[in-house]
Amino acid sequence: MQVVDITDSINESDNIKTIKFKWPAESKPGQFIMVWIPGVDEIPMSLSYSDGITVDSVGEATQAIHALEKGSQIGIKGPYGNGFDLSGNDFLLIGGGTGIAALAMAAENLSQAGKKIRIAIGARTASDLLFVERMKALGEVHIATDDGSSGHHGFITQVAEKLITVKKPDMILACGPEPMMASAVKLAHKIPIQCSLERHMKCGFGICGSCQCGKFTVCKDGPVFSGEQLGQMEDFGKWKRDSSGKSVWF
Amino acid sequence: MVETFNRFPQSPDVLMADIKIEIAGIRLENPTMLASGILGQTGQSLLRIIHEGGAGAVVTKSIGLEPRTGHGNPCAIELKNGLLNAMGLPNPGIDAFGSELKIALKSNAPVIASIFADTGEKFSTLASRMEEHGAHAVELNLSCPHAEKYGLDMGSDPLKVSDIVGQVKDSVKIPVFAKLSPMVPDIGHIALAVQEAGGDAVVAINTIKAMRIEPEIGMPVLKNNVGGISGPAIKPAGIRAVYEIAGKVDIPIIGVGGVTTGLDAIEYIMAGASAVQIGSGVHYRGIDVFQKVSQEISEFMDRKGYASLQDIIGIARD
Repeated sequence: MQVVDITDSINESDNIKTIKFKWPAESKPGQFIMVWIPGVDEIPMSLSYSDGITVDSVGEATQAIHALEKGSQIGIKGPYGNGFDLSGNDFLLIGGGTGIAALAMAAENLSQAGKKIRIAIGARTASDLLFVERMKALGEVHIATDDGSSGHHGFITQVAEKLITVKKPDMILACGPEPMMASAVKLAHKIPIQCSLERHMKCGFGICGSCQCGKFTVCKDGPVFSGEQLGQMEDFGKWKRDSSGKSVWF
Repeated sequence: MVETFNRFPQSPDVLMADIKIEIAGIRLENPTMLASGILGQTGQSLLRIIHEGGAGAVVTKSIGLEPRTGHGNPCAIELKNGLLNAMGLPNPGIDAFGSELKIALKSNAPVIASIFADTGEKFSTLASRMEEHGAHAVELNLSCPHAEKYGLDMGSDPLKVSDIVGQVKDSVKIPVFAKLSPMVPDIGHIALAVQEAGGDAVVAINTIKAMRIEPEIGMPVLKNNVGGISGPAIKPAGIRAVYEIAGKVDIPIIGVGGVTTGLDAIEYIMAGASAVQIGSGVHYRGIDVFQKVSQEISEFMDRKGYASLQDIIGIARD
């Protein structure tokens, strides 16, 4: 555990903030950290920057993260997890909701490496869309909103389906609500795909087993899994486990 | 799908020593077992520890009568020489766990069900349910140091230990193991209570109460403030406990606490253990730590000319 100082807090939308901190550790795109907000909780967060996380305020811990100011201190464990395999030349990235945060660093790495990237970003409504400008600087951006307030009126997977059929990428990266990722895996068919999963996490480093998905732990074996691995998980897209280990259907 | 596990895929013919062991009638291909609390909450994770990890047996996470969420986060942190945790006995409850156990039982290796409760009667109910579900043995958690009313709160009193073990023995036919804490004045005395109540084996030790304060913040890191430490830091305490227990009882002892290498296991065995359990070692060396430790035990025995584990169990006491 390393205690770090918050250096910046940026409003991304009404409900989403990016928190930056002084943290020199090296990480791979797709890895995550365990963020300890002293006195409150500790939660897993994908790195949206090498020194930052992007957080939707949905509960006690995320509200506490939103309340952090420059100079506040948090504890960090990690970076943990495997990260994305960035081999391939023509990429499609599919981000649903804050899922795009876990893909953002991958997009930057791929762009720097001169790879072709298309980024499909989905959200409930236009004001919830995240990192649109950041992604436009890196590749071709396609948007979908549930209410039609921006881009395609409907699911991001409908946009992705068209891109897969027409553009035939050779690698797909996806992060978002699990039913969305389960659809993406079906759409990918024979094109290699990697999805970043989210499960209830306790230890974060592969010993407690609370984030078990099939035979894998999401924190240590994942959070990024290949389509082949996802196919071996009977729970993928169907159920997750609560903090007692009981199965809960999506 | 049942996979077969090749003990030494790289060197099938080289190692000679017999590392099979029988504990209370339960046969193990090698003397390494998954310790309770590490993974082991789902059937799939237990199967993987057997098939890919090479464990001779597995012990499930401790299961209670009702679902329990455990303590809040942070509940586990890495320290320099060990792991500190206060999970707080999270588990889905015995009703939901039956289907997980059935998955784990698809393997050929013994599956030992760890259970916790606050009365002998509840322990007996849990043990009977585990027996119905097909567990090969039950391990009574009399030693968790960070869950009020449970674990150590029962296991530090020899009369309570005797009562619980006795009641469980009366209600099941499968072997009954008791996992003990080193945080008692005389662990041999508690182990003797297990033996006299009919217990089939003693497992020692559980984690030792510990805490970590973050100086930058001025607060304990664990949400529960106090937790239990495991890993290399506690191995000498475990060796001492097993050594003292071996001087008091005749039933088999299973050594646990900081085993990450074959030589760690050998130390426990020489102190009097018939087998070892590995928990934090999964973190330090990966899921195949069981295979690695087994291989290292064999290599050590070959080098020293020991033919079987029986030749070294308790020799440091003689």
